[in-house]
Amino acid sequence: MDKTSHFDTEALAMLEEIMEDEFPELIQVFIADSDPRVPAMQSGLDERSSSILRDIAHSFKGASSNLSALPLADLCFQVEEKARDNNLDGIQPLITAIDAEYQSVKSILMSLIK
Amino acid sequence: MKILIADDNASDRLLLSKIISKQGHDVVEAEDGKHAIDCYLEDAPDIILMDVIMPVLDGKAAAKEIKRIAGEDLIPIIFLTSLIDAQSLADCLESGGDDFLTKPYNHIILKAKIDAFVRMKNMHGILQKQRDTIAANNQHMLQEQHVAKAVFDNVAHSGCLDAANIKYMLSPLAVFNGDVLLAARKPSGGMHVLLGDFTGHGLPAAIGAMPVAEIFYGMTAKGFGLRNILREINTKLKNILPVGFFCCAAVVDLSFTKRNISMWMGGVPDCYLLSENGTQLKSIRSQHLPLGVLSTAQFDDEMTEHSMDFEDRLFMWSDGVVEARDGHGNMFGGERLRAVFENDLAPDLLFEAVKASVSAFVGESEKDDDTTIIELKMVGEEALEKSESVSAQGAVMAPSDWKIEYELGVDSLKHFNPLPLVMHIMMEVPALRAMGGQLFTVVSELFSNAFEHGVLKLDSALKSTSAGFTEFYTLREQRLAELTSGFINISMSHVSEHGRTGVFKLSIEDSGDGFEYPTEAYQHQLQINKKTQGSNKFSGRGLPLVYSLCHSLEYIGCGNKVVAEIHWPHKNTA
Repeated sequence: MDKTSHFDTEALAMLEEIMEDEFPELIQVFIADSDPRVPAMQSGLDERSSSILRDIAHSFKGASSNLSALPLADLCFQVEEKARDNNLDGIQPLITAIDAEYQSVKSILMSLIK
Repeated sequence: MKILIADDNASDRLLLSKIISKQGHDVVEAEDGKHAIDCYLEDAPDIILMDVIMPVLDGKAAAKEIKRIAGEDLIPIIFLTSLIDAQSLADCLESGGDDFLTKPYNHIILKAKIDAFVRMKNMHGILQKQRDTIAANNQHMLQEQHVAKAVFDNVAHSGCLDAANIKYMLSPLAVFNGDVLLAARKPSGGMHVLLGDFTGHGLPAAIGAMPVAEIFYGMTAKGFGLRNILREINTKLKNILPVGFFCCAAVVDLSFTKRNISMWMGGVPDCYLLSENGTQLKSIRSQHLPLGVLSTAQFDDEMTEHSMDFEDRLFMWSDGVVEARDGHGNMFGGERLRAVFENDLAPDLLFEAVKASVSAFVGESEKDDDTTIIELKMVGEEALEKSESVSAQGAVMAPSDWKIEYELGVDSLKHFNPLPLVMHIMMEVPALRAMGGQLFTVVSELFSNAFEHGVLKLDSALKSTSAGFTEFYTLREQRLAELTSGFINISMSHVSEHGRTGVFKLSIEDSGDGFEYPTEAYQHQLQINKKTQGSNKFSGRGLPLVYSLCHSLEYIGCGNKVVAEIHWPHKNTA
């Protein structure tokens, strides 16, 4: 899989350097935190709750940006914006895109700590 | 440094915690706003990094509460946020945050920010410590000032300011008052009053008041005239005050019997003399430089005389009254002051009216000088309480059995007034001190008789007409100038019976030819006269009065020697 289309690779390398032996733990914590997020966003949309959508997207955006997964962070930001404006149209395709992007990010991260 | 990280996002927390630990700080972690407050209370972190959006209690609310608890302690809060629009970031600071850090974290910027806050925190700690030191010092200083004030007040006490003919207001700006107000009854009757205003205010201004009060009260009690007292004060202040510091003063010698005042004013605002039942207002202008400016040789003790009828009033004030400022910095001024007097108010109400007018003008604005106002009313001396008892006996045992002889030659008689010295010796005996006024009358009458009629050979009969009166004083001047021989011998003795009773004997002998003194029969007549307020054949010699004060009064030889005995407890004072 192409790392560069999913990550700021330079930042990712820096992160690995900073975290030292705790890098694997960081990845595990990120994945454990993030796995429930896509289903949670989906149910938030189903319930038409823009506040749930906004909070999850905001949190997900911050966490993924810290792991330098910038395309994922950007998709989350788009959901956050729409939710904040109470505009739920067009969120479904974004959630589908986030799901796919997260799966890619997750498998790349997993490969880094094997 | 101990740093609290509050973030509900486990991976963000882990990352931040790692970055910060690597920078050498201790980390405490919290998962929501409420937990963050608990950690703040329990772990007392130095800096807090706080996520904005958190469950239970969000970052902004937690920050507000923590800042409230911290009070004056500095606890920097840096918001962690992935919010990027300007308004959201501004809101973070608005809610009590000190800075923000955006995700993704940049560890270089994070380090720089933490270092900056550590510096600020240290600085704040130093400031607080210095503030506490200053506050403690200030507290200490105020406490010292209050102790010093108690001593000061005992020295510069207010004398007889509570007399029935005086109204006054002293309003100091600080603990110590740079204005001084002193009043004392003279042993011979009458009253000395001094209103002084030292340069500046507070302790440096007040300190000069101590010697002024000492001199004023000490010399007045010993019978010195106001001119001598003023000279002494001026010399003292000139010696002790630094250049540029002085004491503006209005000083009054009030005579209840002659119903007039002698005034000396240096550097104070005009005083007002209100007479004719409040219809006549005369302002009296300062004609001298303040006390403590001129050398003893240059000092001018010239006083002006003003007659005062009963119920006439003299108003004096320090410049704090004229220069009192309102909120806009305007001064109260002499015109507003005068206007109060032109309102046709009853004279009795004027003092309060002046006070009220100044205070209404000043309103809520800050005072910037001490303010003092005094009103002196002319009354009959009988309207005043007996002079306040002279200060309590000192630690030194008083003399009880003693005698002294003191002879003045021509030169001394020309240039020196021995009465204060003589009084001083008598006043060492507590029982005599209590009779100070009477003793002063006896000594001064007998001494001036010996001096004027004995040494200077002036005829007392001259004083019976007003033309003769003038001639008497012209002759007195002339003979005094031409005096080449003569003496006055004063001898005094005192014995006491176990300190319960005592006899004071005063004899005054002069070099004159004596006079045809009253026989015992006449002395008996004097006593009758005293009771009936009858005629006074020996005018000019004041003998009836003296006789009434003494246990016995006896002329010896040709009449150039008189012996007075005074017994205590005195029937009139007991």
